[in-house]
Amino acid sequence: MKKLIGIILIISGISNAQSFEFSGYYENQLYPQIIKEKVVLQGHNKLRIDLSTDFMEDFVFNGDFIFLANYGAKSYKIQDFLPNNMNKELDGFISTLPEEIKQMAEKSLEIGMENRNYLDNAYITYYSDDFNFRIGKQQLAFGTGYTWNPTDIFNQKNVLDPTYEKEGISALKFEYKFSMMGKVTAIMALEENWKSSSKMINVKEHFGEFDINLNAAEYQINEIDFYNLSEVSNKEWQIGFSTSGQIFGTGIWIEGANYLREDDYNEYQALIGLDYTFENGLYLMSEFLINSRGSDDKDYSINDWLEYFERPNAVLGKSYLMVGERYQITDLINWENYVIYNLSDNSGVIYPSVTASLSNNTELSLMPYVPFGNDRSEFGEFKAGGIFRLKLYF
Amino acid sequence: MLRFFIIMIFVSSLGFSQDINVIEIIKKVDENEKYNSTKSEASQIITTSGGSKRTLSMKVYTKDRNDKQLTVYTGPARVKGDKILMLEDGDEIWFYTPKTDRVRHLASHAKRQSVQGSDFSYEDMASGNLEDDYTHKLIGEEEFNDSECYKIESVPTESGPSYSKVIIWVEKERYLTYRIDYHENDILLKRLICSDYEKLEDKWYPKKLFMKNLQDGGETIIKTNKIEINIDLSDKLFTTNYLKRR
Repeated sequence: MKKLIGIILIISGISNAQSFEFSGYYENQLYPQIIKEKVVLQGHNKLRIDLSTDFMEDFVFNGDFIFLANYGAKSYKIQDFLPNNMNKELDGFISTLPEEIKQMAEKSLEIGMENRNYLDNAYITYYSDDFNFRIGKQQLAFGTGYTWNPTDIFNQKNVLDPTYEKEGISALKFEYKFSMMGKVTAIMALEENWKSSSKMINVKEHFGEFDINLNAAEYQINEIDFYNLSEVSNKEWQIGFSTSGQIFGTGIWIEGANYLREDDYNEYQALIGLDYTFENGLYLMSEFLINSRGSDDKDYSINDWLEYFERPNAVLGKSYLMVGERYQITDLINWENYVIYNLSDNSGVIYPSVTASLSNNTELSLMPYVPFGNDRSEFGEFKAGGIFRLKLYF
Repeated sequence: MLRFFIIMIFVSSLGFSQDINVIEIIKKVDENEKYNSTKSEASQIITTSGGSKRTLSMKVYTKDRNDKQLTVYTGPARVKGDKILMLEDGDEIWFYTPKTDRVRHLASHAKRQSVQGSDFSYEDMASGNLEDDYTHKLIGEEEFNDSECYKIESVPTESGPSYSKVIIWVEKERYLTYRIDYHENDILLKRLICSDYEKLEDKWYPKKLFMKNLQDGGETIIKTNKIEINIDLSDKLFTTNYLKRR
């Protein structure tokens, strides 16, 4: 509590000296879901405080701090979301381990819901006519896809809530504008040394009715090899491409990336998306994803699942189809409905959502989901649940 | 036969002179209402059919006779920092939101979508080019708001908006748009009423735009509270690079 008061005093002290702009939101989220035939409740109270200031000519500071207090379930086990056959295999493997390693292995399969107070974003940007430079913990997002982003090496998306904000990444970002709509961006996301830091270069230009992006990146992938109880680090390179525009009045976006490693790993992910708005305002969208590193059938390994939970862009199947619709029921109520279907194992999830503006600054979102599919499939083992979110902006 | 031929010539010449008049009217409207550049602050008041109200505030920058347009939402907190960039008279639109720090390019179909839950769509917000985006026909004269008006039926061309037709009431004395009815397949969808015209230098600016959605009963008012005209605005303001700048 003292710490909080201290932070507020420091902020208000600074704000007297500088013209800081404050904003933010309070969010209460409840996330009930059925796990092993029981309804498990988990939720959070989240307070985000944003501040920004032009502290010098052409220099801008932006930042936000998040206070996150969870309630309900304190942790999950990865086994809660795995198919039964895999749990049996996993339990069998764990039971063969020596006691001290067994505890370590069990701990590594836990997803803790810890309370956190953290600096979500804090960065300084220098703006000039031809280039910008940004240093600090900042948002880094790439790609034109809605549900998946093969070119995004920095973030992991929740397919059921893909537009939800992501935590910032500590990085240096340099942008050079070479035309009215074109720019080159160079990014270095800072890790403990040069080798493990992610490096990325992106070139963007607008041609006709299309925005076109080319990416090249080098980064480190840390993968858990559960059966050998080890973490394997590999250098990976990505060449990526994304575009968005329109053909015959229909929106179209394409995004793809090829991933290469020294150990002969050569995989790719690519997607194509289409959207259209009808005269009555009904908006339809569809995305099709192919993923060369996915499994053709539902024979996923524990390592596949661990990668699925940990790695950005990781999906289990070889191909997916997403179909969605959006319709504004009234000026204040928005309806959306999406279906994601894993074509490799014939499982999927339906997730409708309703967002209502309760007042100028209050929004309520109800996002239930219903998975379907057989045992051992990606979505088949999940049971119904939902996200209920109340957000008050200030 | 000769009489029929003479009648045909007479009718077609009538049509020709009428077309010229319409184009002249449209040119005068364009000339009267478009500034080289503007910088304004406005409120957008949305009222639902149930009577609920939402008020948004924004800054709007235009350049090159509305060919370039940038809208920056300044409140409430829920939409603060959202930006809409329109280029080429609204043919190219980008939307930026600081929540995700991403710029989204809107395909032309998306221009039918509502802007921030209001009764204005993106294509309604884009000023467009009256001459190129429609074919016009003078269909009569009518009084509206105690003023004599030309009544013009305008059918969008390939480059125009998605409505099947709009009817425009142009005030006869000053050549100002007073009212626009938006139709889709003979259904009257929305009605825009432009009022509170203020003379700024040699042109006129409507300080109040009232859009009534005749399907769901909702309405939106855009009220300009402050405006500067013919000021020096950098071209860099109207680029996707600028959208991310806070």
